[in-house]
Amino acid sequence: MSTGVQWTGSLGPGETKRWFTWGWNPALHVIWYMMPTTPKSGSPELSWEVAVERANATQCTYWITVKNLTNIQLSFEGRYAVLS
Amino acid sequence: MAKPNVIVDGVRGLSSPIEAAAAVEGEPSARVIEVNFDGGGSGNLELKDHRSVVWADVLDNIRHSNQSVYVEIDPQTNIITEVLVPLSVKVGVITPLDNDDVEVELTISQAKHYLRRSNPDFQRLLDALKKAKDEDKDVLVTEALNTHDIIDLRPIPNPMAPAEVITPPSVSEAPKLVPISPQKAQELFDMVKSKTCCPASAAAPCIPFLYPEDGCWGRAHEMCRLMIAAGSQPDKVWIYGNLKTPSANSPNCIVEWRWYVAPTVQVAGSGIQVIDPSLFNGPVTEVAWKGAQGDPSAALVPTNASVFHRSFSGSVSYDDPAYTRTNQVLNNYRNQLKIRSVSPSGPPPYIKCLTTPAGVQWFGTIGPNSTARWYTWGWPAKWHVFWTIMPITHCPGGPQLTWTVEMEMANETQCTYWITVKNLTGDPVRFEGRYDVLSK
Repeated sequence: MSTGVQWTGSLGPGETKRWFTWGWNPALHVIWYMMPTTPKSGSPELSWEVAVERANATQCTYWITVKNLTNIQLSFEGRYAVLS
Repeated sequence: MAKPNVIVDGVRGLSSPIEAAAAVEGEPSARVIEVNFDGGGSGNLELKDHRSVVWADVLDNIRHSNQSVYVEIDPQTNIITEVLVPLSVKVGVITPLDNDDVEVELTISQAKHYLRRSNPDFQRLLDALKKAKDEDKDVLVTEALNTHDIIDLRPIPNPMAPAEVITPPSVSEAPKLVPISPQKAQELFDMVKSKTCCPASAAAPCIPFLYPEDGCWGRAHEMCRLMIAAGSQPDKVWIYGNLKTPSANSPNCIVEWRWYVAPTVQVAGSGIQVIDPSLFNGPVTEVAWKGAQGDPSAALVPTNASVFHRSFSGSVSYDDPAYTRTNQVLNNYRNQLKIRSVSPSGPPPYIKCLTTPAGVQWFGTIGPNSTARWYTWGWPAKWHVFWTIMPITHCPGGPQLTWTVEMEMANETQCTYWITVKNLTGDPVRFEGRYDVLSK
């Protein structure tokens, strides 16, 4: 298994945005998860949803929608793990 | 006798969705689209039939392109029950086979076409094929979905004057080809491959790579156009023989051809490379390309890119400067792909043609804009398992699938995963349901 940070993003209070990352080998099993880099204790900060597009036999694109659940500006890391 | 409930005709118009008269008193009426044909006939598309939206799209496309369509209509209800796209072709060699069937060469078409002895209209169709061959006339030939079995043959209602130019265009000496780098060849391959049609919503100018059975000459001409527009100088390679190649994009898992064509480029260090996204995932040598087509004695013939079609006998038709015929070919096979994708066969790829990779629990198919749930039980509860979904139906342009996972603890040691998959597109999508065990 390998892990990494694909991008860093930021969201305004209550904002939802979508990012996409393309050219991934569809044979890889990849999971995506978000980690806030702006500390704010007391309640969850981010939620996310992953969608996937098969562009062709050798490439796929992940579309990741991230929602800021707080009332402050947040920064976060878009992280991935290649499971197999 | 031809089927009495068949219309092969041009499409005059389609209504907006309307309420049909209730078939049974006291029951709600259906929403239908009325289709009117050039010859005065009509039929209804029932919108509760999931195929009707795509059929309406195909019929409207045929109306715009002044082509003909084959439809079967239920005589009791006037509901359209089948839509097929006839081929506008000349009849070539007719060859009796050992099993009493007949193989028929149709021009232009790379596929092998058959008239089956089991067809109740065998003799009438055979006579019509021979007559069309003798008279060298263009005819409309309709085949059963997926089999290339001829089921109908008619004269073309309003044949256009032949457009084929059979003398080569005068050209000055061709500029010496400059080989391109392997990276540039891959870029060209990726560029044409990115034009792949989504199966059920295939719209111009996409290229129907996912319908491998026929139409290669149109795909090749369009790929050459794109490569020339990108500053490249492609050629073409034609292959003739008893060709067959496995393909997960055909419901039969194999496609058979009499001939086939694809663009080529000169690549520094590796010579001629074939650009063929229907068969490969990158540029390949001519040897590899030929080797995939199952006939070691097949003959390869190179031509320049301007040759639109080269027959078995070597006669050629040249440039299609306005790409009119190219677009007709692409349009025809986009329609074939769309119709197949909403048929019982569904969209490519076909699961029975695939082997299940490690880490794939199941193959699923999900309808357009639908949500469906699968479950898988008996998993050890102490395992840490992740579930992901990967579409295997190619449809570039936007996200196709999203999913959520829910858990059920069935007993003290076993759990069940419930995986809900949502199709975000208007196309049916096949996918792999994948798992990874992070720890046991």
